[in-house]
Amino acid sequence: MPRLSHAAVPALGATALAVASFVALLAIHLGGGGAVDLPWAPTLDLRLSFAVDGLGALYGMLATGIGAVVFAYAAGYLPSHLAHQGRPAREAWRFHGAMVLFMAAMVGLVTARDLLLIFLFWDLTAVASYLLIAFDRHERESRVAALMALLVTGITAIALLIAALVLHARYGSFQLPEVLSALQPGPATTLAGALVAVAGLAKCAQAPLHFWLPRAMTAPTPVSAYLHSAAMVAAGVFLLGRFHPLLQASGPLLDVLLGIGLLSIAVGGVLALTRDNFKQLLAYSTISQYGYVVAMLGLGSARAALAASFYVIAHAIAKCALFLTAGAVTQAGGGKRLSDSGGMARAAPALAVGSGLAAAGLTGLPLTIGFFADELFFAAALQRGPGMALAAVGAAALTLAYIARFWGAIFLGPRPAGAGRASPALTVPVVVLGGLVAVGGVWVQPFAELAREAGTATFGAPDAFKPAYHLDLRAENLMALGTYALGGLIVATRVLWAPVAAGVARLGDAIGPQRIYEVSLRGLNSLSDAVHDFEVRDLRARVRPILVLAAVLVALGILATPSTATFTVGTIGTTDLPLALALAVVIGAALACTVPREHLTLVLVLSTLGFSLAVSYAFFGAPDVALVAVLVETTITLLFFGIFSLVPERVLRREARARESRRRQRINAGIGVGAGAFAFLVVWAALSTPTPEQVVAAEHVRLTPQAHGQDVVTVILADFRGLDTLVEITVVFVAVVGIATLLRRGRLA
Amino acid sequence: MTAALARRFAPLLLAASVMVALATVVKGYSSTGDGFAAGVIVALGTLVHFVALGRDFSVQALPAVTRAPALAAIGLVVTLGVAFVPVALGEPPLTHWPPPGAEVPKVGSVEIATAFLFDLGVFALVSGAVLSAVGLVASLGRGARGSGTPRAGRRAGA
Repeated sequence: MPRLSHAAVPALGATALAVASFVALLAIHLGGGGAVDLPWAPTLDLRLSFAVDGLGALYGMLATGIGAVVFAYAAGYLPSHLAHQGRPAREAWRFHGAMVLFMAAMVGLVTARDLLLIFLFWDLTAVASYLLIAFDRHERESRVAALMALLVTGITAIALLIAALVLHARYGSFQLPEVLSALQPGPATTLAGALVAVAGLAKCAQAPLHFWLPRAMTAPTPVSAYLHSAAMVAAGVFLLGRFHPLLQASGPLLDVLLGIGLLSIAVGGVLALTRDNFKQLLAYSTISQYGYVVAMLGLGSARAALAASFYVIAHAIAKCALFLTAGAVTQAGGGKRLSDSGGMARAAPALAVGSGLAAAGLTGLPLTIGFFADELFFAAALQRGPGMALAAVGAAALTLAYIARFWGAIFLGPRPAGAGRASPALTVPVVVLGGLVAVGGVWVQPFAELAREAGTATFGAPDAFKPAYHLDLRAENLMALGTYALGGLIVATRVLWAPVAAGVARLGDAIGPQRIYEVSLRGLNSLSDAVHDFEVRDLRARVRPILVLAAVLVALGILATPSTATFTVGTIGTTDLPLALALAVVIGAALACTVPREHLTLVLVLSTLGFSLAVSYAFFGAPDVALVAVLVETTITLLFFGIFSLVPERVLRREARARESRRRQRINAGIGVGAGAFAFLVVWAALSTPTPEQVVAAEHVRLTPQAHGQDVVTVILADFRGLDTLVEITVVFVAVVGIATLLRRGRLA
Repeated sequence: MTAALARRFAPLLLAASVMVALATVVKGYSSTGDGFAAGVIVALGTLVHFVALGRDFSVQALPAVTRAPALAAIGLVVTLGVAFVPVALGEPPLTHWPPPGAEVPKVGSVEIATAFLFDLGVFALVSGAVLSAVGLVASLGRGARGSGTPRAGRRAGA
């Protein structure tokens, strides 16, 4: 009877939310699908458009349904995980918050119809994944793995954004249905398709961008079971499915997908055979299984699309169950590695049955949903030809071999000392999922219909293949029998090929993509440190490059633009004399700033500069600006006084007396004079050309009474240019958060 | 002598600055000044109080300074609400009520309009933000000196 501990409350809340979302999605889908369309920036063609179709319903129900089971599991797993590490139980709130964020992002991703919304939710899933992988923040391996996952999926997400922009430039719309219905082959389409494929393949951990997934196994087991077997990696193939018409129109891209899928099957399968750690083996298995799905999407036929969608369902249920099993076995004291576990069948019979059903489902044994998944896989492969069929049999045999090894090594054999019972809170979810696998083996119609609708949404045309048990010698059955035989052969001859496989794994570690990633990251770090050491010695050294670069860019701009009739000189009338006087005071104050050496004197001279500028604003006829300038100047001056009162007096005296070398002084003076000269030229050029701004200003003055105001400036700030004000004050808020982070490490109170 | 004078007048200046700020916000649409200027006026009055009376006494006498981040957050939420609630109602962002041409209900000289609410939000945010900054800088000297500057983020991936 699980105690309703403090840590269980967020888990149960999350479970309820997941179940409610699942039911809602199912209801919407059975009711024919719904759509929401809210234009929030019509001139930019940005709309909040969501719709539930077959593909969206499948992945959405997967995310919420598997989420419900995993959250229920976490209610039992997390308290002991946190207690084991000596962390307070309220960290469960952070955990479940991130999980719910992830689930919401998944549902948003699969229902979004606007390209930029898809990108937004895509990135949100990567952020949630980062938070969850790094949940055990005190472990260095978790932090490294989380950063690796975020970098790989985040950088490829930029590819998705670029693809969205390319599609908008080519087809004129951000709305996905409009773009997909207007598709034409061409260089822009191929580029967008390639970028989308890169983003999707990195997310579902296909070779060569697969190396982040095994490292991400340092996350707690519920995270691995949910994100990295059933939901986040599924988002990758979801993207490929959603954009499948684009991939079809992009030349040989589908064949490239097929190749990458087959490569991932091989890499994942071979490496899974060599792994000893439970979760590592399951991670490579996930890479291999998603290789199946990517290969099927690359086959480019209606049957293959149906097979891919069905396979995602079957794999998600079964793989999640196996991950949860690994966590339950570890918690029951059965170890983390295959080499020192065994005999759990006697200690935890219910767990053995549940995970046995899931394992059978993954290997495609009859009376499980996996049998139909493999049947569809073989049917799709047969459509392509005998070579593909042979590859399919080999892939399925590999899967059988390593899954059989996984289950056998954990549950069969003699019972090791120290193994306890698995807690019921951890066993029940596994049994539920295993039962679902078995139910799907008998009553396959609802799953098949859902997959059919998803496949139709993917490929554009439905396929009428109905998975069922046929007791005859059709090709799919023969291939299934061949799979069992070949898989059994691989298991039996383990002794022969184990050294070769281990050698391949070592070679991959030495020269594989992970090595490239690590080398690149180290190189980037070194470059950043070198630039930091060169640029940052004190505040003046930080400002110097900015001024120099600004001056260089301005000079380039002046040289590049045709400058005829610029730099005019106007006349100074008698009414302009007060303004000229105020500006002369400003110039004098600016020049005077170079003289003082004492800090407080310098602050006072700087404030003189600011106040005289405010006076010149007043002479320009801008009282609002002058008021704000005076206020801000006073505040800054007082702040300076306050800060200097905190610095010890001897430090201030020492700094006031310190002098730089002659050479450095000359460089500083030169940079100052150069930057000032270019600023002077730019302002002169800008004021020399007559601008049509007067029309806009006159418009604002005319419309002010209609906006219920009399002061044009306030009305502009709050009404005409209100969005600018909103952005500016958000920047102020962010600046304060930055100050807080720098001064008090993030605590604002 | 000047220090004693400053200590006498700083609280009075603070009270006066709050009144001036509120007046500026209320009359923002009809004369010079807006929410931003009002916010800085309030922050300026508090800053004078801090400089004249010292940080410990000020934080003790003005507990509102510790609430300043919440005030800034409230201001941000109010302005975001005024800007984006019309979107939920199907109109472009920052559509003000009352619409042009309609009558503006007034309570004394305070106008009941979304533009005024927006200005209030800006006022809350700016005063909260600057007060937070002042409070954070003031707490620098109050025993937090030994913490040093964290070189956060210098080496990614470590």
